[in-house]
Amino acid sequence: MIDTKNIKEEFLRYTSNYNPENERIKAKINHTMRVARKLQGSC
Amino acid sequence: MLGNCKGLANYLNLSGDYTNLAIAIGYFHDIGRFEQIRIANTFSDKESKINHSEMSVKVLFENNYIRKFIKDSCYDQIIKLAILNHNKSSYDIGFDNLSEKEALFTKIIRDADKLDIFYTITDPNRSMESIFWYSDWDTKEINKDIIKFFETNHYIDYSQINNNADVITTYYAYIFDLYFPITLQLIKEHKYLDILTQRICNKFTSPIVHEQTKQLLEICHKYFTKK
Repeated sequence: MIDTKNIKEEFLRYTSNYNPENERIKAKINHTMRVARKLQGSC
Repeated sequence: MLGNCKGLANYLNLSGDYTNLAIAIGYFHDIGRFEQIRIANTFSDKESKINHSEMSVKVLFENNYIRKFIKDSCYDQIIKLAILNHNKSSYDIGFDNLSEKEALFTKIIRDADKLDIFYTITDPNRSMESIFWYSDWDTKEINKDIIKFFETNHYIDYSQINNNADVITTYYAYIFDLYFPITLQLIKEHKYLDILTQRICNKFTSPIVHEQTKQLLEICHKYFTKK
């Protein structure tokens, strides 16, 4: 059983350890979120 | 016209568990990027000498961090291989050595990643400087050998890329490195290549680069009509 809500939360917890003000880091987080969304769909 | 709300997993008719596995790999595939930029202050694998997919696997599997995300270890091998293969040249993957499921999830993350790269490079809010690799924009032409090789083989030898004009070819080559018809369909539907061509022609001043870029677009359009 894979809980994607938990995975998203853990991913965001992990990335919060890196400088959120860094535009490149922000862009990479956004890329990952979009890839996950493209796989999941929005409805 | 395809609906916007369906994800790639739906189009591929994956079961619930496999849909969630695909989404999980989506979250994991670049997780090594954050250590890469912390260590080397760059996302370039070449400059940092850090293969970011190997770093992603290290982050997840060293000290069993993966168990914080997924309790069950039965998907570990699929996850590892999909991540390790997501940024390889298609010629280096060796699909024959992968199980059916390992190959499927490798293909899924490669297509999803590229689909978002097309979104990124055509996003008007993203500067061209953040998309291209070099700081020098005064390039007069794309290396003709790269175009010739691309036209014949639909493939780019990355070792030949030496300036921003050459980098243009890498984005058009992605079209030939997709696995699922739906991905190509979505790229067509969003007109990503036309938008990219326009952005390139606006950024590069050389008329030769403009002509060469249109030539690359034409090669891709010919491929689209065959698909």
